[in-house]
Amino acid sequence: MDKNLRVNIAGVELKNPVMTASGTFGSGQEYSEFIDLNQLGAVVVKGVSHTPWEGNRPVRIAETHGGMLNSIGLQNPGASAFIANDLPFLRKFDTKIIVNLCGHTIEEYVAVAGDFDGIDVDMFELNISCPNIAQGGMAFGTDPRMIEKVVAAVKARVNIPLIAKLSPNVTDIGEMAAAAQAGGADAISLINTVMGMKIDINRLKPVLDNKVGGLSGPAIKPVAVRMVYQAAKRVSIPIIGMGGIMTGEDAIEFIMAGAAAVAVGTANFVNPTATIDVITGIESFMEKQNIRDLSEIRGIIQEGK
Amino acid sequence: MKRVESGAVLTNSEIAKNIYAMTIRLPLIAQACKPGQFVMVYLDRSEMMLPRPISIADADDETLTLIYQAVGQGTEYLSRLRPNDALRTLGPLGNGFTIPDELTHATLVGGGIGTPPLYFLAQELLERGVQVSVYLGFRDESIMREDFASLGIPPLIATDSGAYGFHGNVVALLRETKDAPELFYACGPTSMLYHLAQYAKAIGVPCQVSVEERMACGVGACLGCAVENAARDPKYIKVCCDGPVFYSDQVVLHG
Ligand SMILES: Cc1cc2nc3c(=O)[nH]c(=O)nc-3n(C[C@H](O)[C@H](O)[C@H](O)COP(=O)(O)OP(=O)(O)OC[C@H]3O[C@@H](n4cnc5c(N)ncnc54)[C@H](O)[C@@H]3O)c2cc1C
Ligand SMILES: Cc1cc2nc3c(=O)[nH]c(=O)nc-3n(C[C@H](O)[C@H](O)[C@H](O)COP(=O)(O)O)c2cc1C
Ligand code: FES
Repeated sequence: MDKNLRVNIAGVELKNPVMTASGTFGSGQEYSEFIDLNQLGAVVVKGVSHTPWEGNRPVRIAETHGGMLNSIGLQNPGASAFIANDLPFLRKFDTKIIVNLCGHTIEEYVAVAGDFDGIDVDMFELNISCPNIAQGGMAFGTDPRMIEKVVAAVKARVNIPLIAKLSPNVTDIGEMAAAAQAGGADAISLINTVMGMKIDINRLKPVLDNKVGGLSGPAIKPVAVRMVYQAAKRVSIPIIGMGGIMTGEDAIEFIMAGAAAVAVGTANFVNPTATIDVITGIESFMEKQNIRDLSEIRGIIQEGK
Repeated sequence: MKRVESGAVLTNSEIAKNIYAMTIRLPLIAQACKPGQFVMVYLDRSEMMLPRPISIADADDETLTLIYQAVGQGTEYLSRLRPNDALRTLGPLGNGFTIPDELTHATLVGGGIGTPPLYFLAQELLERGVQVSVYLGFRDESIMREDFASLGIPPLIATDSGAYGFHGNVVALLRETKDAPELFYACGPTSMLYHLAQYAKAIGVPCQVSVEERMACGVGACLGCAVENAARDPKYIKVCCDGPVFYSDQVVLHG
């Protein structure tokens, strides 16, 4: 049967709906020994800032049931080093490149977007889960007015599609999604990690040096699916769903909740070929269920569908 | 080349209290690896999703030997595996020890469960005609004494308890013997590495140390395994791919 896995996100055509989740796939090269990057819908690279960020002190990783906590602190060498050292390798592959942007202030977000002027990338993903220095470190993504403001400021600076990546650490995800759309986002992605903590009871202190960190992996999947479902009710722009996707079946859940595409993160650490396995899993589900195009099931569980 | 390889456990036996030697049939990784490299061992359990980094203690054309201490739920799980159980691994990972061409005399310093990778290194050094001395420190019970002895390089042993050999730590033993090699190779607890690095610096001998940090990916993608870079820029480098072996003056070790 002829299956169509292609999806169009804000005018960018992906060969399939599977991308990598930022920060879990390096700049692509790290996994190129295990998989053929040409097969991916898109590679979303690790977060990049205008100037280098040194990251948090270790311990940065803690294992938890069905997932992990991380407090990497968005360590990255800055946009110019990223453009010089990491992009040329990735550009050799026939896949879309999505650059994940981070900043501590609106000015820093705009500056890092500007660093990519004239650089050949396909989309930006704005990580608004970063701490806002002007507001005592509260994440940008927890205040709808701030979301609209930062999205609008970056949108005005760029001429390729902009994805706003939402934080799940909020009461009403629909409101945040609507704010991103109002700011001019071309798409939204969700969810980023869920704030969590693990305590080493023998050492009487948290495992992470940063004390708290972001939970990812299968443990957060039900939260993520629920949030995609709720966000889809509020916006008309495409949604990229993620959070605990390990298999094609997991990805199908997100698509049925309303996602146009999906991203695979923590699963890469458990299985270096996870992204390809998810693509194959989607295909075999389509085969089994006689689905020719994912649009037949996209958002199918939404009322009125 | 790094790869995911699954293979059958051949043997898995307790060689000292809570310390196990496991051989696994992993020909591709075994043929590709070198001393100082490690593998990630997947446990494939929902409560333990992250793979465990374990150093390669020995390798031949067919099998890999891992020697590990049961310290938590993952290594305890490993200790219960039986022959013919399948294990999924990723490797070989990391840079491994560097052996300078002109090297003629090296001293290996191991602390506790840091000893196994030095056994793999010792064989390589001997094959290259390098003169090797071995110093090992343990809390109480020693491991791998006979393994080194059968290579013709019986180790000098220090124990904290005084149960065997020199009573005290291995760096104190080293100071006493005044062994002055061209290069130290070390693996063990950070505090041992720290004190050895200080001693090596004082006597002007370079020192390669294998360090540990918590890992998720093992391949440089997650930035979980940060160790402080002595050169400061960038502040942190990655144990899994910049290391795990560093010259002791490349990283900030803590006493
Ligand atoms: C490069 C490298 C080589 C190693 N080689 C050996 C070896 O040859 N033999 C051996 O016995 N041990 C070795 N270790 C340490 C070994 O990885 C840990 O003891 C093991 O991961 C503990 O897992 P656990 O589930 O039993 O413990 P838990 O404490 O339950 O583990 C919880 C989490 O913390 C991580 N973790 C805990 N302790 C360490 C540690 N010391 N280093 C890294 N991660 C840790 C685990 O991987 C897991 O993700 C090595 C570590 C590294 C980084
Ligand atoms: C180690 C690690 C690093 C991450 N770094 C980033 C990042 O730089 N920018 C970002 O927007 N999200 C980052 N994330 C979040 C992931 O992209 C993803 O949203 C989240 O992990 C949920 O998906 P998963 O369960 O499939 O991992 C990171 C996650 C992990 C585990
Ligand atoms: S363990 Fe992921 S970067 Fe080293």
